[in-house]
Amino acid sequence: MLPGWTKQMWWKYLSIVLLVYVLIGGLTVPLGPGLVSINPIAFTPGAENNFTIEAVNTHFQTGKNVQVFLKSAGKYLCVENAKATSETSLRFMLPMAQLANADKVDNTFDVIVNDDADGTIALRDALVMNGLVPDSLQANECVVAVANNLHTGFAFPYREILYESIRNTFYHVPMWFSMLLVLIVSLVYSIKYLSSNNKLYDIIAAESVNVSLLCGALGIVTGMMWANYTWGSPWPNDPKLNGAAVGVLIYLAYIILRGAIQDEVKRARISAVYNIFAIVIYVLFIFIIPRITDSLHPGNGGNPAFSKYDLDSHLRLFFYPAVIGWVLLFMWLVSIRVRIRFLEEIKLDNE
Amino acid sequence: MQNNNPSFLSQVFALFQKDILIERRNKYVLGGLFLFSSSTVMMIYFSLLYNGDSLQNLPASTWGILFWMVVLFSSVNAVSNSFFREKEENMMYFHFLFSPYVYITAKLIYNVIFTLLLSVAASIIFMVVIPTHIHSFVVFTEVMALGSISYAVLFTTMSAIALKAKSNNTLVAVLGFPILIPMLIFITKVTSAALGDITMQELVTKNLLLLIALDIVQIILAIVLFPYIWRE
Repeated sequence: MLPGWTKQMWWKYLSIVLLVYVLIGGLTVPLGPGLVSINPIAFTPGAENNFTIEAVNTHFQTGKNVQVFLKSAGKYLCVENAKATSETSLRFMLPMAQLANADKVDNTFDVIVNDDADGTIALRDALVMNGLVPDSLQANECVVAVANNLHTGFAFPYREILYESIRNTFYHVPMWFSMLLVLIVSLVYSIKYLSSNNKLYDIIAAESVNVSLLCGALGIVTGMMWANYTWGSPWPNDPKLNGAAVGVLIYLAYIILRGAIQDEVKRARISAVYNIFAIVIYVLFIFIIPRITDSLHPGNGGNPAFSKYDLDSHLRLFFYPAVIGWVLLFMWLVSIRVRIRFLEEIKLDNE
Repeated sequence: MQNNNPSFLSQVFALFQKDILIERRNKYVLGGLFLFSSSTVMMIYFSLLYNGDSLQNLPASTWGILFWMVVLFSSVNAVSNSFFREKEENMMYFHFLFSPYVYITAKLIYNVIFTLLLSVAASIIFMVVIPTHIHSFVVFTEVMALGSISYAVLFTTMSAIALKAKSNNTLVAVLGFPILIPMLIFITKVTSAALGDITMQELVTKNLLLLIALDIVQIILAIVLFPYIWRE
């Protein structure tokens, strides 16, 4: 008999509801405010310098108290005449008298803008000072006093490099979770097969592997597209990406193995043994490797924990439902494939 | 076996002796394996020699990786050979005579020792042809032992699977190589450290411990799962 979960409907409906919510919410929630560029990008001390800043999703005119700072080596410099020319652009001037402090080595500046509606937004290392820092000039620091540090609206964080692609978090990351979970389902049914010799359990294990390969392939494809935009290469030497690739190789070998054995009972038993052997080593591998090597992925360099990294609270509202929704959707796929195979077996038995 | 109820160890030893005996009768197989290793080393040597100064500037890590690749291909052949030379009637006979645990333990011990000898031989040939400085001999010995155990245990299990699938060496490689990748990372890292790659030094103990852990897990899995492969 088929296990009960393959026929229950509530979790399948739940996956649809969650994924519709993620699809609509994840694509319609705007990105938060962020600075795009500053022009010119360099300045010379001892002259008057005028700058324009371009931004997105900001409220320079409607938000009150627009302030601009330059920050370098932990010190803030004040600018003059900060004036919004539109909601997303503003102008300011850096007067001659206020220049860099003498003791700094680094001659790049972060540009920081604050207003009451958008909170504090920054463009890192955006401004470069030409020439050497004159020793005689003292730092003319200004006191930073802002009313509101955080963006008040409902939005996903605006991150340099990521931009709109941050929404891929709801599609790429859950593929990986789904792949692992479906593999664990196949492990459970492989063990069940070995202890009971029930042909049905072999079918579930094999179909779970097929679906997990689909998750792995989708995860790699979405990851490659994302990496191409953000890290500049579709295949950066990243341990997590390589981990997924190894998983796909192992389970392609599993399919080859199943194809190589004619006898049904033998195929079921031998492939169950291989599945258990492979998955134990594989799980050890993917849990060990990110802890000993650096990863480009968040939570890298010794700590793959998810909660630790700065997943924004607005992202979480969609990320967790996305993970649950995708996992359930792929389990649904497993259950459909299992039921088709089960019917085929019954038909074969009757003939 | 005159004793009606021989102990586990004596049964293992009997099977082990049987494998040694077969090896001694077919010396050309053994010779063939060592020739295989030597020719692979020579191929690497000549490829390096006639490519600018790649031989002189060979980094320690690359030396380690090339070395383990040579051992990899030799040990796939050696280990799978120890299974595929068994005739089906013989297997049936062993099946009635021994418990699966005896059989797999004997095979594991035999293959570990054999792979260890292979890797020692390969390292000597490698050292002679492509000289390198061993920074820490103790670490090098440890990683040789642990690496050979990894190779031998993995390929023993995969050969047993491939044998039951009535397939050949190719299946052993296809099944084994992806699973070997995790082990290979640790093995080559520690080897680089043993050869004096300074950037790797700090992690030696950690990597060795991980390798030991993976080896133990592999051995346990091989012994626990083998009865299911063995059963006809």
